[in-house]
Amino acid sequence: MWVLGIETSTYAGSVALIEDERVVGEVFINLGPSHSEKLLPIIEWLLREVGLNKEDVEGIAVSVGPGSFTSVRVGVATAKGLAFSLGVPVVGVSSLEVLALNFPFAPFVICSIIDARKGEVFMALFRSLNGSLERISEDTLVRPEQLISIIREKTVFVGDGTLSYRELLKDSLGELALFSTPSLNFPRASNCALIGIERLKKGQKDDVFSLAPKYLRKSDAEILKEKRGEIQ
Amino acid sequence: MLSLILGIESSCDETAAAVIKEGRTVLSSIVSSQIEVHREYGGVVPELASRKHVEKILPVLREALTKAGVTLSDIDGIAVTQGPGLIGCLMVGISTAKAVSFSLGAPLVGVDHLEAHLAASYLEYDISFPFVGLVVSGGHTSLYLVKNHTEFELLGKTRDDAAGEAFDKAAKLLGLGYPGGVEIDRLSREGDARAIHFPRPFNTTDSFDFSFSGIKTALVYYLKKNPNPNQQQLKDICASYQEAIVETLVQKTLRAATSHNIKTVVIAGGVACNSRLRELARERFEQEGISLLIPSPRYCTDNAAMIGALGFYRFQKGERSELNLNPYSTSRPRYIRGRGLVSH
Repeated sequence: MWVLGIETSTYAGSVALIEDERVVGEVFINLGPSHSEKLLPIIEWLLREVGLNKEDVEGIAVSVGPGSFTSVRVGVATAKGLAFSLGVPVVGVSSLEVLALNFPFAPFVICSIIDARKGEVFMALFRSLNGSLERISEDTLVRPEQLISIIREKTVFVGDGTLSYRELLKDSLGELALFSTPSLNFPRASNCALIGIERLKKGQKDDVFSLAPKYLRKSDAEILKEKRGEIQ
Repeated sequence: MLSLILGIESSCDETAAAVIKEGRTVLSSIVSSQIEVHREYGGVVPELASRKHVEKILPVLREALTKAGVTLSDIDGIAVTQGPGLIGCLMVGISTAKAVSFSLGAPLVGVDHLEAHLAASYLEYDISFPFVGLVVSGGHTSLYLVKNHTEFELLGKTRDDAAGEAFDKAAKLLGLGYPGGVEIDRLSREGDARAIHFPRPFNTTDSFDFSFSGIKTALVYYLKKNPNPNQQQLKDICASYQEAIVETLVQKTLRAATSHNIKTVVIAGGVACNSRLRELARERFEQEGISLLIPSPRYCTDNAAMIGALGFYRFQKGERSELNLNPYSTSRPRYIRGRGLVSH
């Protein structure tokens, strides 16, 4: 089964083509917010280089966040448009789960963190189990201090949140905090596709019409309105 | 010839898709409005609008196809709003349009939202070129000289608030509902338009630019001096305020037409639904022997039929967009040698 993976939940973006468990091609760029311009040309290029017709794509796996609202929307809107017009199933995957798959054999807890700005991070905890992932916590939005308070054992931190909060994590957690090499701090479309294909093969596709990003944070206007409501 | 065009629009708070045949026949035009989402904020919240677009875009697209009685494979080309508008919102429509275009192997063209408002007139009228076009809405007030189906020369635009924005802000100051333009239009019918004098900025200058922030400021001061108007006073304020805006719009448009010796004027965009604007424009243009064309209300407010209509003619001219098509928020960027893409 050929699956196209799309990952644009952060300012880095990637596209991958996999055939069952074999990653056949992957393009990764980390050029800031440019997904709207670059995503489809990259998909087109990758298909051509791999020698696959778009009609041969049998499923699409897309990272639905959490992450940058605008970035993830480009990926999700693109995936929906492709799935709808190619008539293939689509499945949405958590960006934090995609990140955690960068450490499939870590004998430690894996903590995916994506910088959510405004002093907060998107995070989730996983454990590796025979090369696949076991989820320990749901995707949530927390302040880094809250995150630190729940870490009790050696934990691998992965994601761009480790770049923003490395010193804080190091100082607070000491040897409990392990960090990865820079290249592993980004969610990759190949991992997104690998998680997606497993679900697709089990028939767990999403409804293409209602599939939406996972934001985990309300818009500023809603937050402001709620705050005002509390004061009144 | 590319006959069946799918139009997609997501520049602000309406998600829209339409199927247009040969640039003229609207087989379907579906608009999903988000007015209820934004009402409680008194204006469009860009992040909320973008989120809604992702939810609505495919259901709207499917409905447009079903209603037109066609399938995706019948579509010959896809036209999508490239800008101006809210970037996050535009990206949803553009990403979807690119994905559909790529999947079908059908050509794609990005069109300008304001030009498309004027192109809405192609759907209902046998229009003769050149004409002067006024696009007036919540986000825009621009005056164009339209030379043919695809050539638009910008004569002037607002330097600050759009006319619709001036209505919305006034409605907020007066404690009226959202969107404010409709409310003010309604109340004005029973008000005296000569009760209060509001400024008519730039009306005497040679420029075709507009400015509406001064009118709003004048209202702020008026309300400070005359707080808590009773019901009739409120109606008088609305009518006087509306008159100042409408007169400015009509007079500038008229001057653009006479100075270019143009005999046809098109007024389009959401504010073109304003009853006083329609009335005054008709009256003044008739006196000058200028024919006035205003698209039906459903093609004046944001819609995708106008996008498809303009797209059809752009395709006919041989224009195509690449898959790297990107939105723009204010005005169409131009490529200048040595400087790259710049906004004008």
